[in-house]
Amino acid sequence: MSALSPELEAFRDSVFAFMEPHVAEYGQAARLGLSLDDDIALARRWQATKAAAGYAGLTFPTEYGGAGLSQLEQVVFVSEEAARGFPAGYFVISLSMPIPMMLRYATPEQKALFVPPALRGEQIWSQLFSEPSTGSDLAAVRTRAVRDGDDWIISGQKVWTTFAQYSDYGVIVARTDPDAPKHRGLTYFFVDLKAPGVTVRPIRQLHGAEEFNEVFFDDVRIPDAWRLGGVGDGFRLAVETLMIERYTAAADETGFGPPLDALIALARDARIDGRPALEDGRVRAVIARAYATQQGLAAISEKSILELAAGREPGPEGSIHKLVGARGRREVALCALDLLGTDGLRFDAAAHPRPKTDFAMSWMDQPTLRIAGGTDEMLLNTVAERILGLPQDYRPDKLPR
Amino acid sequence: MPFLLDDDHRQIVQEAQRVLSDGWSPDTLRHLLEQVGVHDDRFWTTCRDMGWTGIAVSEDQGGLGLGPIELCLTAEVVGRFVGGAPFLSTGYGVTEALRRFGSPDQQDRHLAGLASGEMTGAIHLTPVLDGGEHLAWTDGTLSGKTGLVVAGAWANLLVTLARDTATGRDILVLVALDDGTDREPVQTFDNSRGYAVLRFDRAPAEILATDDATQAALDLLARVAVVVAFEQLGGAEACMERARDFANDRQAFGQPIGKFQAIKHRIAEMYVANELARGNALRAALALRDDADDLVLRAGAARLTAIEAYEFAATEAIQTHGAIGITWEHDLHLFFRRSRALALELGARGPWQDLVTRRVIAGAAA
Repeated sequence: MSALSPELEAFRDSVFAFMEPHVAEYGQAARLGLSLDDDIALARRWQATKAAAGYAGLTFPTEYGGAGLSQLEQVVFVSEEAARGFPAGYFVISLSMPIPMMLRYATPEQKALFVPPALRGEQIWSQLFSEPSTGSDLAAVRTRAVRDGDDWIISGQKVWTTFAQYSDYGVIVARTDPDAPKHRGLTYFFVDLKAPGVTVRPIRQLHGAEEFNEVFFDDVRIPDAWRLGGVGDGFRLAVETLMIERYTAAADETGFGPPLDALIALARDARIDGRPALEDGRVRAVIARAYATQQGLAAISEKSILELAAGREPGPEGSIHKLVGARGRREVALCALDLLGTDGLRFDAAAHPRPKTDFAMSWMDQPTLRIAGGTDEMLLNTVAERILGLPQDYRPDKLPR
Repeated sequence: MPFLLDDDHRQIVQEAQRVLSDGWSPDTLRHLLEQVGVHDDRFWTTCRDMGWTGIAVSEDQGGLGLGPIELCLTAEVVGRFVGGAPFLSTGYGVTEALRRFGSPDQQDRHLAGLASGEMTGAIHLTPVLDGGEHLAWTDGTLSGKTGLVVAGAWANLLVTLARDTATGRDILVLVALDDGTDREPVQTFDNSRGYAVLRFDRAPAEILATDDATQAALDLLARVAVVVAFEQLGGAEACMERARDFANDRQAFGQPIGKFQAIKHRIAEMYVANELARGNALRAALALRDDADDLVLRAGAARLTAIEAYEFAATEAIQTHGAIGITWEHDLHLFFRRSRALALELGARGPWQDLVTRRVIAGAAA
């Protein structure tokens, strides 16, 4: 990062000085074996520590508890945070989708009320878009919001809501006009997930952990003041929300699972046909490919930083990270498990393995990575349509009625 | 850290794009595929007229006094047009060998000629990667036979790795090639590269002074590999654009074939591979400019991703085009052939993967 400006280098130094004393309490090693509940409790304390030191919400306006800095500082901070394995992931959705949307569309009073506690980690926000009958096809949501005087009554079901069981609020898209074309009949609100009529049920994933939830809305009443944007603007705001997420993901190089050094350490100890595995051409090819891919991704990130510094918005190139990271993770994790032989079968869910530190968990979590936050197929569509100018798929839902 | 193009860079790229597209003749390139030992003279004249042969050579040595980044950007454009002669990258290898390891006298004799394009260079350094047979150096003369050397059919100067028969150590050697040199141009699937086997029988040769010839050979190979990575990237981009344009245009089952995800996703995958290659290539170009310690590692990452990107784009662009893509008349096989030629001529994937892995492991141990 030597090409960064002196100001940014100074910022990095200050981040370094801030983080180092906290590594023992919050770093990767401190989190090993923690349950999800305990890890989130730790994460809340880390978030509060950041907020007290002025490092929470780096890009948010100072009047709402942010630091008023640019994306550049944010990228520097996040990369240093990730390098030490601090527990920041539980706030990624909260602070990079709902809260930025609140900052754009809520009233000053609402922002003052809701943004600071979210920055301090006291409250977590969810994103409630997907439903049982619709995932990638966002505009097909069925959850209804019906006007009742100054209120709206919400009923329906959302699903795959990350960390909803720990959340206090969320942003939601609901159908307010069943007669309008599907992209135009939606409206965007924020909701209280602790309100009467809201039921949150964790969903157990294939690896046994519970990161996602079903969320049921049974005639949940919210004031019209909790509507964001105009009636009928819901689809546009939902897409805007997802673009914020993708943008932030561009800085995240953690998709690969455990670091390459962990694979090399395994290969140093393992033997294939009586010879050190580290000398085996197949293992060496995996290492070389993973290294070249990770370096390519890092270069794309750095290029985005330079684009930002030059005052330009990076494009949807951030999609590449999730796509390529998930594939690279699979190749590295499979190689590692192969090297372990039957020991590669070991998997103790009670020890709360994490994808960044456990190869079996990294492998098991890989199908999730390919789907959550935009499937591989949708990301490829984004690249094809938005960057390369290829046509949309056949879309009978968009034909004139 | 990569870099963003500035206005000067963009001008270089636009100008290169303009002159190469003006003179581009795929018919000539197709014709050259069936000749042995013939290159595209018009293309090479353009390179000389534009001063590209001396981009990375200082002005007092007869060059343009720009740098490796400008050479890399030019190579990217050359790749887009499947350049019909190999001398830009091979000549750069010889130029760098002289600049780094040549005596003032050796530099005086050769650099100006290389910079003007009057002289062309070739390198024979792949034995450092694959342990292939070495030429023998005895009392100031060179003997033995090379493998296929790119540009070997015409080059005036060769930089090669050799083994000093007196000491058994590797040395770096400069040898002039002329009409008397035993050259055997070889039929290949990409003939305008001028692949030839060179045979020497006590040919006079000069030592290039290096502390460690193995390291020097790797360093030179890495430098050329970075330039070639840009050439590969340019070829990959051209294939992706042709596939995209065809998919937007071609109709089947009542719609452009680009509407089918099987087609559009493949083209999106080309973009993904190209961007990884570009990221690594840009980082490697900076390492080249700065003489960075990790040049070989950066070059290796750039080469591996560039090989993958170009071969994927060339192969899948043909698939996207359907039957017209497999005809002699279509241009795509020029790219298809070149993608494999560039993947082989500086050493294959295996040895380069090994080179990268060795360094990554060393880094992990440190």
